[in-house]
Amino acid sequence: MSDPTLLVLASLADGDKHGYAMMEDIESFAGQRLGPGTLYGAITRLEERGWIAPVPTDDRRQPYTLTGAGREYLKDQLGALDRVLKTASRRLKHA
Amino acid sequence: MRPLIHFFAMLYPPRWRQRYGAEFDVLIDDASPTAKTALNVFTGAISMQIRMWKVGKILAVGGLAGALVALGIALAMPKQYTSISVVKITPSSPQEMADNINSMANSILSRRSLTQTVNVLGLYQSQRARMPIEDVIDMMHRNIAIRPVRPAGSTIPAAFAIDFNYSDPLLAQKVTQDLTGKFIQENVRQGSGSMRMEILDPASLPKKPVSPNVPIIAFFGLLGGLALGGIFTLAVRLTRPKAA
Repeated sequence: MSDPTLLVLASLADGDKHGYAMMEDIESFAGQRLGPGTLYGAITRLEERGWIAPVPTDDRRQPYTLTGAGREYLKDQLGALDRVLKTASRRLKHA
Repeated sequence: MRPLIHFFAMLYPPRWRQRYGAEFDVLIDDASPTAKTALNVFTGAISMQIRMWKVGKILAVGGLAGALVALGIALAMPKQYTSISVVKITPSSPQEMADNINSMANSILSRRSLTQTVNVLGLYQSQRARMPIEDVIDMMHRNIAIRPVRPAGSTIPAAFAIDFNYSDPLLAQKVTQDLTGKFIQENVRQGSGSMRMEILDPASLPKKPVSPNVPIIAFFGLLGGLALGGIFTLAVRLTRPKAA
């Protein structure tokens, strides 16, 4: 899974985070460190689609939260990924 | 390195910076100031610029890029010059003229005769290094045109023109001179009935190349760039998921 938008959604699935926290979190669970340009490219697209939203804050770091639509989209994507993984594993066993 | 990264962050579109600029700058301060980060911010800025361009700007940039690429290709293409001579014929019936000229052309444009011209004038040197002489002579044959010339308002030809295309204008002129001279000599040698030949226009020294046609190629490059820009815009719009 290397799609930055999916990684950001996965990172926000367990709670609101600001950009740097997302970078650290994604590196810890996916082993991939997103650069600031990549991360904010994904955040821009996700906010445009209404899948994440900024959380009001007084801090200079802007946290984001997963919206209901974003949670649904993430579930759909994980379902599709799960099907691919199961099919690939089954085929590998039979190969 | 950090000032450079902040400079690259300034390259993001103003509309984007208005919304995300402050928090993005904080993230840059938190991130490691490495060359990799700098490159990531730079490429992010460029892709965001392209992403936020309006259709008109994408088409304009696509068209301009297409025209520039085509212009570069056109300027890199080998130039071709055409030297022309005109030989007047008097008096002769159209049929007699056609028959006589065809008969002379068979001899003058024979493989043996053209091989001699190629060798004497040192033509097609780069082609001769990589192609058999037969192919080079075929190429030369295709670059020669013998065509009738009719006076304005008349359907009966009173002269014929000899055209030769070549990459060097001076050699193009020399070959045309040579071919013209051979037609005059052949006419005398064959004693072709009542037909007399006279050089009306000696072989010209071409000043401008006849190909490549740089403006036309650049124009087609512009059209190609516009089309690609349109396809790109359409593809982005069709593949972008709808907002929730």
